Amino acid sequence: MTDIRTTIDDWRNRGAHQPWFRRYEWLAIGLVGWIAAAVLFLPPFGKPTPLGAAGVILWYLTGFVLAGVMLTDREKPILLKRATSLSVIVLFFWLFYRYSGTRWDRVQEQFFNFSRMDGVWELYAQGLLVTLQLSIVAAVLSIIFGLTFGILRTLGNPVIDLFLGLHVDIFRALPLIVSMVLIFYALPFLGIRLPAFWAAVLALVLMNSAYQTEIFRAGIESIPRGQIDAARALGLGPGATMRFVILPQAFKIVIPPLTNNLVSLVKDTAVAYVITVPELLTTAQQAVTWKRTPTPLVLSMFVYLATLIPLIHLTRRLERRLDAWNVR
Amino acid sequence: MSAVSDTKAEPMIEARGIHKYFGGSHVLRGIDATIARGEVAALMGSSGSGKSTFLRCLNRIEEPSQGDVLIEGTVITDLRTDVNRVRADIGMVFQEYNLFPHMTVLENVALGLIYVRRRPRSEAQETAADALKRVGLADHVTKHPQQLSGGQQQRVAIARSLAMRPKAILFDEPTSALDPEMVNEVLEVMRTLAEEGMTMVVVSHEIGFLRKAADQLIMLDAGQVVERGPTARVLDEPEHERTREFLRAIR
Amino acid sequence: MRQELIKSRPIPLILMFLVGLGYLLAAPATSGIGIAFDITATVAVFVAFLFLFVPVQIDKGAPLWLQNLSALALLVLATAAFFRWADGDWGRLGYLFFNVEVMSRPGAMARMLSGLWIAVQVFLFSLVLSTLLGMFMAVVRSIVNDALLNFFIDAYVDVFRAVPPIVLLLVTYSALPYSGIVLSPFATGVVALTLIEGAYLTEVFRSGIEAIHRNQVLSARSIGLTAWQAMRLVVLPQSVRIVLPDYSNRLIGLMKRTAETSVIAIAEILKVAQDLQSQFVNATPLVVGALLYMVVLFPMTRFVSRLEKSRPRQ
Ligand SMILES: Nc1ncnc2c1ncn2[C@@H]1O[C@H](COP(=O)(O)OP(=O)(O)O)[C@@H](O)[C@H]1O
Ligand SMILES: [Mg+2]
Repeated sequence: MTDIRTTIDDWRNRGAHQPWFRRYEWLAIGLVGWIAAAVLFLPPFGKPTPLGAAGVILWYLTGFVLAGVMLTDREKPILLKRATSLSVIVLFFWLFYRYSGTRWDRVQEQFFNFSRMDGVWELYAQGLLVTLQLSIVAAVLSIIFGLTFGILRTLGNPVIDLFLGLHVDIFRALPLIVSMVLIFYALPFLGIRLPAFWAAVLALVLMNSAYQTEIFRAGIESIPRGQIDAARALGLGPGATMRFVILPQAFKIVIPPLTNNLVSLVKDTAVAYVITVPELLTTAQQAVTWKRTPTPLVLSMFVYLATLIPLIHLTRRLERRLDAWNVR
Repeated sequence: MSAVSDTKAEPMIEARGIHKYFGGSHVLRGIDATIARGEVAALMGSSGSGKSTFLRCLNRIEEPSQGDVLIEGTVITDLRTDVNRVRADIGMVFQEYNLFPHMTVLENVALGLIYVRRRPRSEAQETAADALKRVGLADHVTKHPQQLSGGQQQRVAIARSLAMRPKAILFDEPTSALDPEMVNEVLEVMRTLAEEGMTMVVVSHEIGFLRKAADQLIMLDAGQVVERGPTARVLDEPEHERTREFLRAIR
Repeated sequence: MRQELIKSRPIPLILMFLVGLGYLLAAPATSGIGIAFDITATVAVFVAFLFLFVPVQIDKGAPLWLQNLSALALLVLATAAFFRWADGDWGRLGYLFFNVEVMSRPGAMARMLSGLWIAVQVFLFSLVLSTLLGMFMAVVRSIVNDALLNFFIDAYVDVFRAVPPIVLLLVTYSALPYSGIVLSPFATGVVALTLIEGAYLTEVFRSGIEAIHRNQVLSARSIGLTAWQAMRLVVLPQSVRIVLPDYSNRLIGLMKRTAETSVIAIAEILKVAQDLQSQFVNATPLVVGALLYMVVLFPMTRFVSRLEKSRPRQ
């Protein structure tokens, strides 16, 4: 970090050729004035007067212009930029605090009321377990089907292509929740009664294997023709060519879209709530009725975050590792 | 099934009236060729004349629409032929090298030995290392293809064919994708092979190399043989107008 | 006709088909142990058939009629298995699932269509808002590129990419009113979907902007354009082409996700269909609802597949 003294000298010297409104002193003063105006003059939430509303809008606009001028110029001292972005963020939250209409006194009591959470954590654990079972079963099955269908689609048999293409088209266009409801609530009319868990698995597999069919197919088709020629010229059969030459290369291409698909599969297990699978969201809703407070629902969101954010970061790390490996 | 017998007079590769259609277009129009054991045959012709297609028909990477290919007197364009055995016995080197990027150089060369010849892994790797030594790449066995220069990659591709101990090797413009200074290292390896008695079919327009190494030259045009004969004769006294034109253009 | 007689074995395939079909057409077991055996045997039939089926399909030399017939055979087996295991009342299939009379009752179709209209409205509102949000975040992130702002933008993106939409919908709908923020269901739906979609679109736009080579920006700056001008005149027009397939994919996902707003009592297609289903005790409204989604989304997915094929190489 630069010494404060030289930083200030820097501002003086480098700003010298700028018009007055771009000089750092004025911008800094403007920023301070902007914050002061917010604290002192902005009207409280409630009945908005025309004057008050105009003031809020004016305040917003000046804020954005100031911050924009300050932040988009790469020559500005880093200290000033940091201060600007900090105040933008602080003021954003402050604005939300003041104008969102939230009754902050009730937030803690309603949303984070840990005293009412007795027994709910155990419920969460059960729910999370079901969510994980659902995710793993559905993920494994859809990879098996997606890979098989993907390979079959590259063979170019028109009959197979017709059916697999239909599968892909239908389940890329049908919302997951609709197919779940159809499977669970409509199929019983036909005498097909699947347990809720397996109805959810079926819907998840139908949709995700459709997406994965296309992912695997694209991966396989992106392998240059010459690779296949070379493998066949060595005398490798179609199966061995697929196994030793095409799939290992397609695998690396397929990983990023595939992990994205799997992450959204895990998220989509929450939809199974509508067909009463006792997964995390369902247990949270049960707890809401049981404890008469929205706290369990709000906290369940954090359970999802705590599960999924690491998962997303893990997949991103994997992708980066693969990238580095591919470039070499 | 390869019929191994004492057949010195029998040609190594024989093509009889090969036709090839791609959809409606008639790409090969009845090509005959005979390549004797230990002979080097060169294929020439302008772009699109069907050289690659013909070459690929010889090991059935491309299926001929009509006509037969015989290897050591055995018809391989036959219902009963195990085409993978045939291909294992005939090497092929491509213009774009087509090395497998996910394997090391050694794994590239050993792949066919392990999964087609069913050799134990350690033995296959020894054979592969030998083949790489023959093309002068003994130091690079653990690298990946992308880490090598174009010339080195093409030599790995040659080693990959060599390691299978093939009866013949087909070369499809092996030096056309190379920078000029790398062409010679590849041609040098090919010359040595020719001198050691390998049967080769080469698509190439490197006149100097062909003059030294090739016994027979076949000139293709629009899917037909327009001229064939001993290399020097065809190069110096071309009989056909089309051949003269072509030779003028590439010189 | 030539063929590579490597692994494709037509005769065993045909035999397997006949045996499998014979088994599947026989009456299913009823007792406990018998059912377990039955399930195993059905799975075994398919595994065995597929073992013979796949080589025939892979073998480029196998005759086309054999390939097509065996594909058809697989379909026949699948159908047989379906009917074997789904011992429903087939006579009532049409009555329950494709019942024109039910849908022609007064108001039924009109309600379905109004559901479609509401779904489209939710879609359009969240689309416009989240596009603006994502665009703004992405541009700020790459032009300003200030570590502190980046941190907050990334945190926003991470959080809302990790939240399942249905969870956020329920939280905003049933929990927020307790804190004094009262929004209509429609507004709640739009806000929740916008927040989630905005996070994804930030990523989409950002990768689009970053895909433009740095030299493009440098040469733009070297002829004296400002950062904003370079962004507006050089980078954004180029990234539109790169971003378009991903963007349209998100757009399809958003349209599909409007169905999830049914859990917060927005009267869109699925909600209406479910209401009608319980009112008429008939599954036809659900089928019609599914068809409505297909009608809207089919052209969109087709269009995107086309876009993806013509995507510029980076
Ligand atoms: N797989 C294919 N499908 C359709 N046409 C092809 C295919 N391969 C080659 N051709 C056509 O066959 C002709 C001969 O091609 P090729 O044998 O590659 O020529 P050369 O190697 O002599 O340049 C060309 O006109 C080419 O367009
Ligand atoms: Mg060629």
